[in-house]
Amino acid sequence: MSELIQLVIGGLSLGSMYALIALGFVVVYKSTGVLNFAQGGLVLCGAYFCYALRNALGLPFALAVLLAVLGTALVAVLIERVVMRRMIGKPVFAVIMITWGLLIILEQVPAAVWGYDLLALGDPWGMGMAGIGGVQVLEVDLWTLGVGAAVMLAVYLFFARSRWGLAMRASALDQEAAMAQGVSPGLVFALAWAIAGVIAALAGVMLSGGVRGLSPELSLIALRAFPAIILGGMDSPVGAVVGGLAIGVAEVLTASYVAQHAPFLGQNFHLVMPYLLMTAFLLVRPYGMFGTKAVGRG
Amino acid sequence: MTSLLEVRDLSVSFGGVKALSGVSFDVKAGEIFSIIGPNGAGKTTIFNCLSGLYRPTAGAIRLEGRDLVGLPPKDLATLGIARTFQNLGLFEHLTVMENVLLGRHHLMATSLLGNALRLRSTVREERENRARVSEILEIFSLAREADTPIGVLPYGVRKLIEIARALAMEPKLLLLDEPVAGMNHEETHRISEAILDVRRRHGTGMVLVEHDMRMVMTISDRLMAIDFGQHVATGTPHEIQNDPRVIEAYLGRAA
Repeated sequence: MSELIQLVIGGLSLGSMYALIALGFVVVYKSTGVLNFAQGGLVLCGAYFCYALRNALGLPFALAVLLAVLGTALVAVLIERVVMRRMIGKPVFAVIMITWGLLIILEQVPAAVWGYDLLALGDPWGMGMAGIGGVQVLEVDLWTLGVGAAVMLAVYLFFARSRWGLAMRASALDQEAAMAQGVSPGLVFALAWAIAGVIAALAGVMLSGGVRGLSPELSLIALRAFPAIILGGMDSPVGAVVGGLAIGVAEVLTASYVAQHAPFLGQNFHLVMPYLLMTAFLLVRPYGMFGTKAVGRG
Repeated sequence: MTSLLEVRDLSVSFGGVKALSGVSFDVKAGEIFSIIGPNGAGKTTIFNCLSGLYRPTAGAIRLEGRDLVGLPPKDLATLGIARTFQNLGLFEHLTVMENVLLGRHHLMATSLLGNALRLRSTVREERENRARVSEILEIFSLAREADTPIGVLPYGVRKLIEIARALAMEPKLLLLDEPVAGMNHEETHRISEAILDVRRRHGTGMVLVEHDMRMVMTISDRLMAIDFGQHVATGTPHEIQNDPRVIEAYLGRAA
């Protein structure tokens, strides 16, 4: 039983980061209509910014994280201003290819500078374990869960309560009517990308902290947010969170139980699991658990 | 008395088609000014120029002497022009409170960063504006529906909410695009009362486009009749009803 609890906590921790990445994707999709495949690139961007600030400049970890978050938000806003704004009204496929190209650029830059080796982020968690009620869990997992929950709460409060969150929701529903209330569409677009950047950077830092380490492979991890989006529904923030948590738990449980009970499936079957779930959902419920029917397949 | 809104020689062409040619009118503060004319006469084109959706080919639009031509819709909202839409510009998935609160977006001053960090000033501003919206909903007898999503409310109530939102913007000039289209007599009466109430409380100048002649003749101070994008006549309801050019252009043709 305590092993199961351990696994579920590890799964929720991983899943909460999938949830954040998916949330960033949904915010951009809802606000600007863009399917942003570069989201994983922003995750890398945040993690490597943090690494560079911590190790090259020797800044304290918390300050490095803060600056990495701001830097990634800036990169995201620049992408919107310089590239995506020119693509408004262009065919969906062209827009997708542009974001795909941006992903490749964002992946290659850190690989070119720091190579493919696994780097230590320089975080304070390391291999530390913490005991809660007799169950031993990794400290980094608890921090990750905490950061995930805090970001989700902040995003919820921002959209539910603040005037800018309200303006963004209104603009997503009817841009012309929102403009008539004095809402600037350009600002809404930039804001959506900035939020996606902030969230991605935090996910990047947490996903490469502690025992996990940092390498360009991080963008593959970020790619597993896509099954989370398909599961939850492209246009649903709640779906992104539920889908992300579900994918995380499924992945960790699969990793453990396949090794114990079905070793013939191989060592990395858990990496396939999110995509199996995604495929199953695409077949039976393409608009996801919480998505709007019409937009399901994007 | 100086004019709140001055429109001079307004012309709009789409390609070679002239939708409006040289229309001029004034709206005074606190005045209800209606524009009438057959379908396709150019009423909505005037509205879209006034709210910044179209850029006129020629002519001037001034609010309190300030030139508005070329400004984007969001700036016009900030300068004090509110509008309602012919097909409702409400946000279906948002609640009544949220819809009306959006009308106050341009009146709220807190920064983005403050919003993100939920500073105390941000939270106070939100609370004050929600309180103001509650008062407005009270005036329109909509207080009980505050947390209801727009999508489940009947059409007549939605029209009323749109006017409530326009009022929440605290505008100098309110543009009403067919506020009683598709409504029964009782609903029309309720909207008319709401419009007159807004004027009484806030002295807002209004431009009204509406096909319901009885409603238009009842609440307007002055009217302008247009046809084929051209000015036909301007005057009080009584003058317009008895103007032979209007009868010929607008009322007479149907007979």
